[in-house]
Amino acid sequence: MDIAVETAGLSKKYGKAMSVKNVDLKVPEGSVYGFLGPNGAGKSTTMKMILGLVKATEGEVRIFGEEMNPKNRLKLLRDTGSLIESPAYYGHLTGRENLEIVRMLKGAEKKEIDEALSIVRMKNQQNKKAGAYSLGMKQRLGLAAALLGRPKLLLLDEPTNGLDPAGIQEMRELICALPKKYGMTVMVSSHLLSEVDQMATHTGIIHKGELIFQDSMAHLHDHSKKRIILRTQNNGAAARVLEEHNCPCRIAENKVSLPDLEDDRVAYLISVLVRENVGIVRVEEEQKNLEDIFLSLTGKQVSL
Amino acid sequence: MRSLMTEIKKTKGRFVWVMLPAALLFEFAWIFWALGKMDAQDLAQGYYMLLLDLPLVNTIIVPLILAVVASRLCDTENKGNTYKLLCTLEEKGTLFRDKFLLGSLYVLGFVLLQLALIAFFGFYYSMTQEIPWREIGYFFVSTLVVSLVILLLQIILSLMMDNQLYPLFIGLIGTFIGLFSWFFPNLPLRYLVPWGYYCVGCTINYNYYEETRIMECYTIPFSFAGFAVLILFGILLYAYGRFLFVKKEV
Repeated sequence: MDIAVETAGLSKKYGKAMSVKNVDLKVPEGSVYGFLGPNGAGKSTTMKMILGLVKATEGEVRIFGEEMNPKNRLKLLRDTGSLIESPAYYGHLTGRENLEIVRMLKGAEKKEIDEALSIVRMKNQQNKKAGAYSLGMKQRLGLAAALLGRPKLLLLDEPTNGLDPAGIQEMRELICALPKKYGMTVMVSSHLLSEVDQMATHTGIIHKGELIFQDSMAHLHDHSKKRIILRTQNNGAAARVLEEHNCPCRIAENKVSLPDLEDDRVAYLISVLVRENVGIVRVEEEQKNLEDIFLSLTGKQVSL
Repeated sequence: MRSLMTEIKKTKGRFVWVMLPAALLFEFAWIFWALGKMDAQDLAQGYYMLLLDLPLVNTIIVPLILAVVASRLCDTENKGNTYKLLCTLEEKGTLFRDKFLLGSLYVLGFVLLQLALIAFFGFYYSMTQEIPWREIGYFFVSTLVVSLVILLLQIILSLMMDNQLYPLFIGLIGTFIGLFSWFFPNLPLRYLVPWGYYCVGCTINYNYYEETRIMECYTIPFSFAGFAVLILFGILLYAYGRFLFVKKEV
């Protein structure tokens, strides 16, 4: 699998505080990479470092395999569109005039403005002054600007911030469609787990500046599989008996944890444990949802 | 060139250029009032009187106008939060250069219009003095250089400060210092601040005879050394301002 964005040991120090610590990101080409983390975790700083807007204290950034340095930064970013934090716009100019400025700087063709406007569905509002746009419209204008020049990579920092539910839904659909329709790789940051869950194919979870999880969403969902939990009067004996009957288990938090099993198999194992005089106190089914996983990874209340 | 064109596009509807004709109109009114009652002797030194008055009025009004122009050119970026976008499309140094270049074009136009103003008053009052080309040349060069240095300073301040009131306030303070420097010829104040160089660049001086109430203008040498220092200061200021702006994280 080709990697669109790769960072190695990326770190940023502000004063004595490490804002980002040794982040090794791998954003696969053609993916929607959800960059998840609580507020202040270091998402925006990391994305700014990827774009070269903030100088990394340590580490390197590779975009489509090429290491970024001050000399080739703009060349590499020619294939990149970005929307970092709040949308950038000139309030005294119309939406179209705003896009014209970005188009000129990107050296893109004039017709791309119409394409971008139709992708973000704001053709009817293109001649209104951007200062009079709602936040949702400004976000869409920002996305249209990012789409100019047909970039291969899009970096969107919390693009649904401040949008109403309909706007969030629309933006989400738009982002999900980009890789399929235009072959783009999208890296999108969010502090909302549900949002990333609905959009992303891959995810990286950052907490207190450290990347604590990175894999496909499918792999993250694997963590949420059902398990059978036994509370016994002798966990050690229970684990020994279960292993003798070819049932892998682990002891954690004074509980014996088994993988999800057929009902008959569970009944059989319980009867074996009873025969071996292991006192069974409780048998429970446990299923972690994504929020539990996020919480267990970050040890922090998730924003919803 | 492409990035400069985008700077021009950004000013659409901002009417930044309007400030300069407005300043010129003020100067026109001032000169019209100041030279309104010229007799034959005054007309024989009319251009000198113009070249004496214009730098003084420039000291009063141009720094303020330049502070506003610089602020209008730069605050669109601050207000629109555009640096995070622009800096992925062009070098920050290019953005700095183009802001200054565009402002410089306005300044050049303004100084050329001042020359037109001199020509207009010369024609309007039918001045009998021979046109002092050399003095007018010094006036053009000095006004241009001083205005460019002040513009550069104001652009740096406007780019570095989110609150545009501070650069405007600094421009106002500069104007006062510049104005004071006219009235204290024995103090080196005029050489210490860029606002004072409108006075340094003025090659006309006068004697006033109270008994007869006659003002007699005469030329003084152009301060090449002073302007060499100012140009050097401008170059260093450009380099330092650019460095600060490039270093500033967005």
